[in-house]
Amino acid sequence: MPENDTLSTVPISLDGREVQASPGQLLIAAAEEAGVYIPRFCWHPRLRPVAMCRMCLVEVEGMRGLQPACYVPVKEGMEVRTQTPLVKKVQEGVLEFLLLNHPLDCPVCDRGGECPLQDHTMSFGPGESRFVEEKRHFEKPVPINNLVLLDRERCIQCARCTRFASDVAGDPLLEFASRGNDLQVTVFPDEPFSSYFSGNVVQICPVGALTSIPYRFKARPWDVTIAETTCGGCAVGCRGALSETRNRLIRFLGVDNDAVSWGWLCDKGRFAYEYVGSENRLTVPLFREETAAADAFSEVSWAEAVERIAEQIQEVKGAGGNIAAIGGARLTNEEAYSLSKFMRVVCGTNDVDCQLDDGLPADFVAGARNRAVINDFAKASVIVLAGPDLKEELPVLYLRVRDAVVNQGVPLFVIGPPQSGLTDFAKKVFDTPAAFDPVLLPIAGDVVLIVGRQSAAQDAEAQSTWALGLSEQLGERVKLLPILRRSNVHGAIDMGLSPSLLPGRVTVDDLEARERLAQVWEGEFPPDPGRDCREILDAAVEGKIDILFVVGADPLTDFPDPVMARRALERTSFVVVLDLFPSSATRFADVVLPAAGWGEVSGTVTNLEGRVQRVAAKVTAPGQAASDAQVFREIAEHLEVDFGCGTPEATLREIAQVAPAYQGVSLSRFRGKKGKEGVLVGEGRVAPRTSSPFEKDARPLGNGFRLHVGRAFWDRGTLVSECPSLSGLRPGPIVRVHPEDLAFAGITDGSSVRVLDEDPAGRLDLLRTVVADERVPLGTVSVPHNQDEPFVIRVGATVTLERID
Amino acid sequence: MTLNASDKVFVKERLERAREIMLRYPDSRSALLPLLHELQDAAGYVTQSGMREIADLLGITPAEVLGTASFYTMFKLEPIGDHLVSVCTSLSCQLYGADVLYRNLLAHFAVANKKTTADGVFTFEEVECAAACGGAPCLQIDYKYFEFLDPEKAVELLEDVRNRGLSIVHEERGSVNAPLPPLTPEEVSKGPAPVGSGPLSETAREEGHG
Ligand code: SF4
Ligand code: SF4
Ligand code: FES
Repeated sequence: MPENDTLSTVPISLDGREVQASPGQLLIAAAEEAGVYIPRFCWHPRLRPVAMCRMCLVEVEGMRGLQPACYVPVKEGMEVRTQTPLVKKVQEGVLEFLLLNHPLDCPVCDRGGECPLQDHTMSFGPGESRFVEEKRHFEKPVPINNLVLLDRERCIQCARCTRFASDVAGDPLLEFASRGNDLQVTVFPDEPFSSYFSGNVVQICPVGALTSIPYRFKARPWDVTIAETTCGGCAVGCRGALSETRNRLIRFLGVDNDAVSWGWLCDKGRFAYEYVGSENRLTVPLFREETAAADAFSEVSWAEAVERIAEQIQEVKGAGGNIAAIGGARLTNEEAYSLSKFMRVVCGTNDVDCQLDDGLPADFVAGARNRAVINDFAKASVIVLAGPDLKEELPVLYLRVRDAVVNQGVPLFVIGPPQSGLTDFAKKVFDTPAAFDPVLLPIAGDVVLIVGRQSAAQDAEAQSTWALGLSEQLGERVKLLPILRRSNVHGAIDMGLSPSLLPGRVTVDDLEARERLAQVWEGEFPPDPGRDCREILDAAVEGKIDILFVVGADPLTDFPDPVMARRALERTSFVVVLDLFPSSATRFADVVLPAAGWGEVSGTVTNLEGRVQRVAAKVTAPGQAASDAQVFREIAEHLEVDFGCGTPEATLREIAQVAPAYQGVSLSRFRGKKGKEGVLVGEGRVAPRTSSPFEKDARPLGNGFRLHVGRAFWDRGTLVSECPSLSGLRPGPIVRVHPEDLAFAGITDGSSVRVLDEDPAGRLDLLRTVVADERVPLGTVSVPHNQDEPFVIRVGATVTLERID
Repeated sequence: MTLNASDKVFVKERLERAREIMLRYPDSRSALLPLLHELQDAAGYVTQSGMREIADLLGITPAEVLGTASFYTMFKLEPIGDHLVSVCTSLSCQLYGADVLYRNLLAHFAVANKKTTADGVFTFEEVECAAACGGAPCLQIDYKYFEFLDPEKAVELLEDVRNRGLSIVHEERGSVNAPLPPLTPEEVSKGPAPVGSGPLSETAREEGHG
């Protein structure tokens, strides 16, 4: 339920005790706040109440019969009794009734030991059943999609799963069929519950009727240890609880916080923990053999690896050469800070970039004024969304926007590629920012403007100047939310992993910041912005980069020009790759260092709102894999730099000391009820960039289609491809085109097509299967990114479509 | 039946009619029940492909269509025979031996509850109160009433329908078949007959259901 805005409270009498409650709040919630737990099955604080299970019946003075506490709103002076003999008798009756058909197969049920039905039966049940007849039988269990199984015999028909599917996820594919004794949850035959959020129904099912295939039979609650952490799947930063048994991660469950995720997780975030335990992880430092043929690596010790890297750095610095680093978006804030510090004080350069020319200008992201947080959505007078398809890229953010629009009635304007699941609810959809007219906006109230990179082929500069132009025009009303995709990319930018920024949202030439840094950082670095990722790779192609650190990134997949990226890595004399898995980049590395990742490193991360939240280490990294922060510190110390930052805690203290926007961020602020919501970072001092009204974009010349390259939820990224349960879910190498365009071009749905850049200088040439999709705007070819071999993406590209017979 | 399971149902006039039905409601989703009727009339039962068609027409998911269709027992989700025989087994009919009647019918036609005879003529189902308690025990053939039956009469009735067709038989002996004679003054003063004293009480008692 949305939080109750009414600040005033009224007195009610609860079991003879006077307590305060907000009028309109549901009795069950008010009682819980006052410390009285009313048993329940169907009620869930984030779902619309339905009063179906009758477990929460209580006595309310003056109301006839017993009342469902999950459905009755608080009124001043209400007298409520939750513990009377009548209430207890009814609770026993309801439980006996719910158990009539329940198979009681707890010993082989995944929920056993953490099952609300078990617990309630122990606490509120009669202890015995009078039912001796044969129970109802169903085939058990049946899959409802690739990840979730349904056991209808165990279902108590609470409708949590069906309400989640239709009201929260917007995928009404799970329904009740039949009635009476035959009532059952079902999907349509051959139409699985294909939702990106399907794992949530497993989590909220109050019995073991829904179980997840990856976790099934893996552990009992008493076999595991649990830590609260933040999902590393994308920049939304959903909260969750990570379970470990025998040093393996086995489950990730959503944890409710009001600010971000409301307890939900997307299926990628929920099930991706599998990759952490993958057998393909890098476990030892590797060095390329100097004499041997390509791809021949030999294992070395950490000490030797550190020493040899340090020697290289010394040599290159002595000769006045160039060192650069790309990547870092998967690091924690503390690790990213260490990399940022390392590049500045040890390597003496600002040539660092955590984005691979596939996001937004870092100063636009870090410098945004009057920022929106997710909880502003529901209060806004309008939401303008000019970004990628949220459902595919930032799934739980999609849920929050959807809630504001569908459940709270906030109007939505969509600019750019249609939003799966949101476009139908938008007031209007515009193909391009140029087509959008601000006069359509309501005349008063907050305008939440969500801005992201819509397509890898879109001009990011233009997108950000347009957004600033619009913000300026609308003034204070605008609340801006710049969104990037990769897990901690916002934190990485905040830690200065950008050529023009220092830690704490300040520019490299910010005197005050430099002064403060000088007290802590020993070492010189230039006051001018360094090279960004494209410039670094450009310089590398020309042989001007001597050492390149590639940190948890694969430019051969993610940089828009993989051909150039490959040449850059080939031409760089010393490439150091720090990663969890071998990638196409490790093939060109001279040194490959095994990194510890999510679930193995503790610290903090910053989500797309600028909210700092903690991440926990729950397992030890495999083999000799180590935190990136440790690697950089060791190299620095080998070069006799007093690096500090020995532990994540020490690093966070240093960050709070030197990074202006992070002042006052400390571990103590993550404790308690308020700490659950994380800590919002302050404003930095990045000057607003110059804005300009967005120009009408030139429509494609000739017969060309506009190229749109977006992300698909399931792709070849590590998160998916290293997880056995997920890797089969990708859409595969396809392109999407509007059916009318296809008809016009005489191409049939499902045939093979060749997608060719119209510009002779462009190098895009793809063979793909074409899928007709009405959601793609006319005149556009939409290519999901990272489904098979990478391809070259030119900003503003127009392409032709040819049928292959 | 003229349609194959794979044929599209909502084409041409039927599609037009569907559109016209949808226009009658401010929210086209409300047309779900009438469209299900259209589908059942056309295809003989509510087919899976038909449910998909309806979902497309109304912009909802097939699962939502199924949820509604399966709630109503008069929508058939599986193919049925030429005639649907619905035998009431609720209280009033039960007291007059409906269960024996029904079991006898199934045995005679060698078929199970909710199943269709091998020749495809009859599909049998047990139903809740058919609202003809005064004529218990009763059954419906294609929702046409036949009352005051007993096990033998019921078998004979269905054989007759199989041989001569429903419309002739219904015209001749449909609905109220053999009304009971009016109560005598003694009967009135005696009050309601005790359980098990109905016309079928003998058989019913033998079967242990009296
Ligand atoms: S499957 Fe679980 S969540 Fe769904 S209705 Fe049944 S008990 Fe409730
Ligand atoms: S939306 Fe992002 S942060 Fe949230 S669960 Fe999914 S991948 Fe994780
Ligand atoms: S919790 Fe109130 S009726 Fe289910």
